[in-house]
Amino acid sequence: MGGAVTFDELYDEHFDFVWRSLRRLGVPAADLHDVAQEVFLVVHRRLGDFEARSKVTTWLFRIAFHAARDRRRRAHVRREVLDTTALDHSVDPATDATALLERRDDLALFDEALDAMDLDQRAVFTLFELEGLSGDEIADTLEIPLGTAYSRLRLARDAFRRAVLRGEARRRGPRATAGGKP
Amino acid sequence: VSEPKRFLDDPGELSPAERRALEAALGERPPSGAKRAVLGAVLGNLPPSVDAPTGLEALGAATTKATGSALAFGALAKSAALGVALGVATTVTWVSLRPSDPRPIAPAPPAQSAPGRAASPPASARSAAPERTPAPDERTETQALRGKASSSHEPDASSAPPVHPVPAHEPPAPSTGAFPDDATLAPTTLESRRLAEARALLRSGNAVAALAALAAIRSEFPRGALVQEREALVIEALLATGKRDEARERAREFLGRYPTSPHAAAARRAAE
Repeated sequence: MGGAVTFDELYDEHFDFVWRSLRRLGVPAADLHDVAQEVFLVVHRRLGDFEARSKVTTWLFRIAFHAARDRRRRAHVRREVLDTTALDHSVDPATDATALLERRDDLALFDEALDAMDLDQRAVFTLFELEGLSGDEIADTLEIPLGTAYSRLRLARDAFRRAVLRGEARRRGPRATAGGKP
Repeated sequence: VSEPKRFLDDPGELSPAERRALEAALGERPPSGAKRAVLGAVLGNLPPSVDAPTGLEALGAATTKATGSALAFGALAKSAALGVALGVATTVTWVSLRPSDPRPIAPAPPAQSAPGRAASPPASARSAAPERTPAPDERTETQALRGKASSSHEPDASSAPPVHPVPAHEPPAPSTGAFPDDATLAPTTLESRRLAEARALLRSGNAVAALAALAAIRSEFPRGALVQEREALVIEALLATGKRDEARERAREFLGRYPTSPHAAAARRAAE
């Protein structure tokens, strides 16, 4: 990316990235619109300062990360219910109804797993597992040592596995709470 | 420390449920309309000096000049960067605020066609950016955005249906935003500008004028790409003018029509 990148190009190419990053960083569905707007207002304001030293997605993710953290601080009290409107929105409408329902369920499971992580772990986990960034790139993006990135990844993976197990158990056991047997 | 393998690249590592959860997350994308709605909101919240170089007086002038090249930020730069002569011509037009040629000489240059890709996850997470064939609804809105982004020309309202452009030489967009381009909805630029102006009126406490501006936008862009944003502003302006009943009615109507809109939460509050 040279210095010639315009806001329009950036928005068009990376809106989805910003949106899903915010989602994965735990911004509730009801707030996504506002927070995405905040992010792109910052992007617009600071585009002139953006230097091509880093990848544009690195820069965007940092802004998204800060916005998500701010929102979390302001609204942590409200974070209690699984927000199903997010799920209504987030699955590809091209898939058929059954697939859609299954997908929604899987996505809910993924969300539960993310909820078991703190913000730093979410960032590392999703950048590594879903965005395909390397450890080095993640360390650079989050401005942390490589070792820290790896240790967060390890913790996040453990949390993910435990949460998926819990979620699965709960889904299999009718009306059972966590730990219910199939 | 050696780099671990990504879960999805390491089939033995994952339980079926873990894999499904990750794959579902990989396939996730913003709700239909979100991209457009956020852009509308961003445009509406930019400082006037940036977003509305022609100032609010342009509201009237631009309304009478359907062909005025009201540009969103960056569109000029984009045109220039693309080396499209049209862009340069439009720059001059825009700066001097003269009406431009109502006929677009060429449609906006496209990026690339998004490869039709099924939801099946690839082995490598890196290549798994959710590129896919956009749903028809979404196609429209991304075309709108693309039109906004890359076409600085406003076709007049009566111009012929758009010609589908031949793919140009622009390198493929790297990730998610690559959709077929089309000059169809270049008026979105103008529409979003008008909305920004109406919003500015509303924010400056002039809700009555905002309502008038919004009504004008409605007749000018009856099928505009930013209908939801317009209606959300109307509801807000009605509330600001004390017309609670009307606001409530509009909000209910809005919710009936766009229950999953990013503005639905605000409409719901207004409908209460």
